[in-house]
Amino acid sequence: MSVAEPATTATSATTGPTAPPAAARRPTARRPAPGVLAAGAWLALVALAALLLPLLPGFDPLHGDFAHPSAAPGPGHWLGTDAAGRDVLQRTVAGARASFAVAGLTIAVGLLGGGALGLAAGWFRGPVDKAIGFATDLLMSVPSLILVMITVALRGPSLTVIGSLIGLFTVPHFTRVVRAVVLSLSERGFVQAARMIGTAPLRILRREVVPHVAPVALTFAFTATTVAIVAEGSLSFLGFGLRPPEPSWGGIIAEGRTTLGSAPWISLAPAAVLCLTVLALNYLGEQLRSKGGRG
Amino acid sequence: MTPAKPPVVPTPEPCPVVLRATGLSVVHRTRSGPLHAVSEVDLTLRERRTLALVGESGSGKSSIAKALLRLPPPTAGTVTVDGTDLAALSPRALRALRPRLQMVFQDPVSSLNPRRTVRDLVAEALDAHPDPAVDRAAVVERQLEAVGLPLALFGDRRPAQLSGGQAQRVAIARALAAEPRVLIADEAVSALDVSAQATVLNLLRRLTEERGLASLFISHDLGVVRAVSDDVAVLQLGRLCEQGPTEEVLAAPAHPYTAALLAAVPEPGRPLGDTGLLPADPPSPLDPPSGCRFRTRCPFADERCAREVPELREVAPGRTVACHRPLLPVAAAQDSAVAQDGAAAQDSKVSGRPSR
Repeated sequence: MSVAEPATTATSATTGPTAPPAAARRPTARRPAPGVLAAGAWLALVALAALLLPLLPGFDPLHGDFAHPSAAPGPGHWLGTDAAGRDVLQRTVAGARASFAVAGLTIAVGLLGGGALGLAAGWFRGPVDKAIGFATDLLMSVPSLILVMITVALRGPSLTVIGSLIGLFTVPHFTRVVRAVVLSLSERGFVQAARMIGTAPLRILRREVVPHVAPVALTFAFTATTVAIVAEGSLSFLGFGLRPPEPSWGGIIAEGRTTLGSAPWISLAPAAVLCLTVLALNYLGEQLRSKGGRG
Repeated sequence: MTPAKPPVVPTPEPCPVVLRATGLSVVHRTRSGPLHAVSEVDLTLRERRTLALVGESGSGKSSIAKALLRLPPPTAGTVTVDGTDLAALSPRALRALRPRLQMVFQDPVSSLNPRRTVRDLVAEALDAHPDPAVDRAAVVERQLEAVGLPLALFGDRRPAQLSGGQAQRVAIARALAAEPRVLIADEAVSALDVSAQATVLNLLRRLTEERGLASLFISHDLGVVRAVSDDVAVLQLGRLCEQGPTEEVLAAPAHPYTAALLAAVPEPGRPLGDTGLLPADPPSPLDPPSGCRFRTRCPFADERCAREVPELREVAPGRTVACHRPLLPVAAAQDSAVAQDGAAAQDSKVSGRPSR
């Protein structure tokens, strides 16, 4: 039936993402690109290792094998040992937990805070938008890492404090992303139609706006995750993260940096894992974004 | 609105007034200063009648539609629906009254949430104003039936699975499910191909009659206007320049602008392009010309047109024109105020909400 009316293609072409010709989308939607598969597989591997390996007997990232300090990668220790004879693979896997804990907290704070502020700014506009815009600009002008370091110095190292503070500093970015989507959505016909019918504002937000904002915000969450992982790594590297010997990627890299010449694997193993993880997250986020953030 | 003054002119239309807009003005604040989108427009919509609002792009047609719906409210002027002044209502009361004023948008596909099924889209008004006495499924089926889309076939589709014409009919069914008194169609067929246009136009015509709607049909296409409307109001740069029964206005326009619009309609056997207008760009609503806003393009304009804003004056029963040099003779000593009072007197009879 729709074939009989040429208007179908004409309107769908002008309305963009709302009405893509179904046939044109399918190949990309069904078969993910090899890069997407590889990135996804890597993230799954890291996440599973962080979750499952600590359950194995004999897993102890704090245990030092004093017979083999700074041992090169080999059968007993696949990624070698550090100066205290601790297994670098086990420490890297355990370090992933710190990174993911911080990242998870960051996303939770950023999504909730930025989502709420962005919705409010885009929906109410006017003075509300101005006030929120001012507050987020203010927050963005604060040197975030320094503030986190001061807090950690005063309150002691804690993944909760680090995660929620980094999350706080992603709030302005989430706010901007969400606000922009809400602004453009409120001009869309179906939101106008809901107002015209007399739907209550909260109901419009819940049913018409949020479902369209969520995919975009989640896409941005990938970027925020990488920011959190890098920030946590930097803080730990500088000594403002978890206290040694508790493992975290930045901490292990820092411990190995004095022996980079003689035992490079101590720093390079966690550094490589960190890089690959950030790369995979960025790549997936970029792929999602290029698909228009549709969910 | 005192009924004390008897109508001087017999009202040509016996149909009761549903919506009356008086002195409607819309001014947008822009960086370059105030933009006068609509200036002091009076409109009356009557039951079972379709008023067409025509004018070129940027003449303020859509601004009027939005102002009537208070999305957003007009800068000045009042809109009454069945005697209720919309501006006097609390936000909650306005929301409760909103179903009575429904609009069908120009782009049918984007006016439907792409994630929802046709069934849910049509039920939007019922879900927004829950009423246990209303059978949701039955209403959805009946309204879809009314626009010629069987529920069994279309109920579970999503907007992307509809053609433009079908999507517009779903939008109409959604409007109908709200049991409206007023139906505004804003360029509702412009995005459709000709066969779908005919379907939707016939539908709008039929529904206006059957459901006793008061319809406002906004279009720039005079051919479509001729097919669908009883009366026509011509808008030029935010001001009404001519108003009257569609047949009469299109047969013998009184305003040079209406004549130019008609001349711009392509017809077989007539060379295109000569509208008789002076070769000037349409003036900017940021800085409208003094006096008559059409004078910069009008071949008949003289110095009076630059000095005085022309009032709407009667040229024939039920026909008014705002022009110092109309193409039809103006009836002596009569102006639009008389006709307005006549309509107002009748207006007092119809107040209170008709039953669903």
